[in-house]
Amino acid sequence: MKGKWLRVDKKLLILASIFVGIIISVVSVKTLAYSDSPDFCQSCHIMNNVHDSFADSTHAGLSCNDCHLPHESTVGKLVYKAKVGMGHVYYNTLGEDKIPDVLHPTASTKEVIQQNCIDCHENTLQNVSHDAKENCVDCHQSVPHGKGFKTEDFYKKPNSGELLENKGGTMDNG
Amino acid sequence: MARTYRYTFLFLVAVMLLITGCSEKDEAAGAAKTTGLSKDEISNEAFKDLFPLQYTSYMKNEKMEDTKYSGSEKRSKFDEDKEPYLPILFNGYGFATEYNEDRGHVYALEDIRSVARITDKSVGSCLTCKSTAVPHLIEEMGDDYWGGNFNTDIWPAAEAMGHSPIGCSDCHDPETMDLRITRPSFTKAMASKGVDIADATKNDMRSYVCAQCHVEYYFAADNSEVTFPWSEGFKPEEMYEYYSTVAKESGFEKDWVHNVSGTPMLKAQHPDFETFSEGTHAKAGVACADCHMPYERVDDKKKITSHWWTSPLKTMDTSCTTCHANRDADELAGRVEEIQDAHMRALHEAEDVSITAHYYVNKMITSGIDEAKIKVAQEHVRKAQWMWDIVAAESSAGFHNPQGSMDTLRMSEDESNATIKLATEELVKKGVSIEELNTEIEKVKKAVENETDNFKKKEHATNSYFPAQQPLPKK
Repeated sequence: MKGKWLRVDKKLLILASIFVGIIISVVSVKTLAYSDSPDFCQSCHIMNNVHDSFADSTHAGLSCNDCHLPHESTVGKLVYKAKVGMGHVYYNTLGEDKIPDVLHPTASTKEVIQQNCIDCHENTLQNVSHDAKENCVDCHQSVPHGKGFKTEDFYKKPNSGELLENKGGTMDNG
Repeated sequence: MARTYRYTFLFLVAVMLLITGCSEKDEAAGAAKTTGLSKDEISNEAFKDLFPLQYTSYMKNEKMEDTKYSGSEKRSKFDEDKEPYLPILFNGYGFATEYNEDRGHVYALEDIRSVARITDKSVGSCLTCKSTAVPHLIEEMGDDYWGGNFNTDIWPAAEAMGHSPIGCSDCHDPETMDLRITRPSFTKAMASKGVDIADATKNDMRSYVCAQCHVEYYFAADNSEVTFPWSEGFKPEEMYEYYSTVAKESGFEKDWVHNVSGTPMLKAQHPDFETFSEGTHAKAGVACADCHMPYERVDDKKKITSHWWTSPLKTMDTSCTTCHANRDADELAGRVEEIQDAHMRALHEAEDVSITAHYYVNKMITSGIDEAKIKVAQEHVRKAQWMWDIVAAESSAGFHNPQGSMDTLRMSEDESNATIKLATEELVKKGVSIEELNTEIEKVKKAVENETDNFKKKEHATNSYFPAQQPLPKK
């Protein structure tokens, strides 16, 4: 009797574990994937402009991190992702006074992007000589973010009150 | 272990701060806010407490700092390293007496009060782009504002209103802070081009507020109203066409008669907007504010629009590399300098040929050459000087439109050379020694150069060999 119960218990336990395992994996995979996506990245206002130009580009079907993270190995990718993520958290909290005036890709990000360009466009590189410049974006600088530097909004009439609402006043500025 | 805990804790705090920091904003939206200021507010200080960050940024305009060719130090343009021959080129006009490099908006009132070009005969129009009281003066006085006496009527009235130097209310509606046009001359001039500024986009307004003042203008013949010569176009040759037709028909012929060549002349004024509009940046959709009012990080974390109007050479990072992201800022600055070097060389050359042209015409007059020929020569002189002056008066040392400015200088030299050719032909017929003439010109230039008092330089432009051509009226 006792043995039977235990057997059932074990089976249940294994089933339950597998079930929980699947849930955890799915959730983590989904979370990790979501945090690679344009939707997630543009949830910070600072990414609005790059997201807009990206969404209007031939690369719009990709995820941000298809280009912005290394893909040689999953471990490498996750480590890089964690490092960069922590950097963003730091600058937006304790390191606010260290944010540069204009954000440019770091040297390591440039390398990562370069490798990702090559990974997808290898065939082109084999067909056409591409050895004159150091990086793809030295020439292809509007891929995929450079299409127009102003949003559509700039070419419409201004909305009355928007300067006060968005930019000015002690309420917004401290 | 304690260390790990501390870092974990810090990390969690950081995440919390990030989440709260990002979501806080949304609640503020809702009913339209107003500043609580009067719609007629003209004092810059009234805005200080409401917009402390922007006000602090605006006060940076007090800084005086030169770039290679321009900048914001109040210096005489007659200085050795600037344009020492201007007292010859503007001889007979106030600009030969005192002509300074401009500085920050905050000094507008102080500087117009002290400059020698303002006399007891100056009109209200001279205050138009200096004081925040002007829109109200126009509203109250109508046409009498433009022609009113600067010293006795207009300045005291503006002071009584508690005016400020060029400031908040000139570009912003004090109640809503919306960008607005306060100088009717701009609205009228755009209408003359078929543009209704009521249709202006946000991008347009980021240039239009500047274009109320940073433009070429003249005082209309009938009421001294500030008028922009734009109906034929923005290019110097198109504005010249306007002065030869539209302006002449309405009674405006000249700003002054040149004391060396006796030519009825035009004086050009800072056509920053027109020059920029024809240049590559404007054609690519860039507005004045994009480079001259880049964002500025204040209080460590808040981004505001800079209200420090100065050369973007001082703010290359935010002004230039936001778009030119793949370029090194110093490298870009070097490129700008190359453009400006070439520009200034060409400008100085065009000015030099223009000086020669003025003196050749002077010699034509004193050698008794046919009036009709002199008139033709003077027309070339007038156009030549317009062409280099509109380039020189512009604030960017060519950068607002490098190729366009170069083209204008080319036309200037063409016109000066046409004068010299015509004069030489006529003078040789009369037996005048061209060699002696050239030597005398060099002597005059030396005399102007050697005079150390900038206010007296103009007196050396004429002498017994080159007698003054203007019966000097007291200005």
